[in-house]
Amino acid sequence: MREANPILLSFQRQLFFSGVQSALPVLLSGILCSVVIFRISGTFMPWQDGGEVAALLADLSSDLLAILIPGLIFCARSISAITSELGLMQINGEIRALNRLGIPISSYIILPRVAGASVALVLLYIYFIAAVVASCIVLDGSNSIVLSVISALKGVNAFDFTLGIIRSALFASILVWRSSRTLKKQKRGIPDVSRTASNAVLEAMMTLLVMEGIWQIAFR
Amino acid sequence: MLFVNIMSLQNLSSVNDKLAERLYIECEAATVQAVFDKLCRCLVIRGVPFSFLSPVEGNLISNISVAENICLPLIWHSRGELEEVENRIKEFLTVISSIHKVEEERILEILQARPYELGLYEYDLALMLRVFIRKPKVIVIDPEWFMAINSSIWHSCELLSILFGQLVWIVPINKPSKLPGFELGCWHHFSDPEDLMQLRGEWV
Repeated sequence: MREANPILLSFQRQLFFSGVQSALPVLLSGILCSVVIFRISGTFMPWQDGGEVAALLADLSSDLLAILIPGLIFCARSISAITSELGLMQINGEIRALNRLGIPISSYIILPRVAGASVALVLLYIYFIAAVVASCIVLDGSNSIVLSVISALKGVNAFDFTLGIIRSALFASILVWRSSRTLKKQKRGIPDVSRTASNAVLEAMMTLLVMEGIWQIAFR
Repeated sequence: MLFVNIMSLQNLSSVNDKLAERLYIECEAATVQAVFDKLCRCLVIRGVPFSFLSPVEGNLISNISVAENICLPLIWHSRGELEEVENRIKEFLTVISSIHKVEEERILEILQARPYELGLYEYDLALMLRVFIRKPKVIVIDPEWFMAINSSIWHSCELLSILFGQLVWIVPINKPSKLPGFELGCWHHFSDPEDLMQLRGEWV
């Protein structure tokens, strides 16, 4: 029996649950966003060619959509799971047991979840942009795949991309850290867990929207 | 108010009497669970290998496998001793399979399962393994635990012998109705598992 570092195991689990399991919804939402933008562009800006629309879409994604949409999916998928998991651990006395074993909750429970969620959301950010760029290949009407990709990537500003990665990691950390406060708020009753989890999801979505809103208004 | 002898931890090796002397260090905690927490924290801070048995809390963590549950405290506190962990598990499995006729494959299944998938017997087996594997010098016991256990795994003198073979101290932190010759909050030394079995019989 070989057991790895428990913090690393916990980190890997969080990365899997937040990252891998959210990949399909993020892919579908990336494709849907591309379709919607191309339709809007075709209706209101018919003079723009596919390459320009693809660049606009990629710019919009790296600056806003790739943070908001994976972030909201992350809230729905992972914040509810983290909150209910921590709530049940609290009710079952598992948190107390860990304390008694001399295992700090901050190191074993919270830190790996924060780190795993941050890495997962950064990967989802990149993945969303990749999904949008891949959609442009089909939607922009160009005969060359390479030209389509180049046109789309022209819209991705390196500075915006870096800031997007930093924001994704930062927002994920804040959201998970806030949801881990469940440990203090959780009352000792199973029915309370579902209510706490749904409240935490709503709170996380509001927090994400407010943080991104402040960023867009203050720094753009 | 419960008095727990915390300071005498420093003198564990020098005291050999069955009933240890106690130094009256006041433990200002209102409930038994709080005393339990405080005592465990003191043991952790002083680096004393210990385990605890409580009927209420302190059981296995539900979102990790039984194997991880068993190894977690040991790996956390003394990293890099995985070979020793393996040897201790093998030793335990040899004894348990010979006494309780549990097949090794079944035990491997138990190790890979999540705690909520286990029956009472398997759960107690995992709990016992977690206690055993740390080679505890101190076991903090809420004596209610002895009354709450139902499965036959704890009723074997051989198992208690390997579990408590190197046990130095037991600290009861709660007073059940029948507790002969046992002082609350004191350190009780058991070098012979027969004594412990006898004590358990008196409790139950």
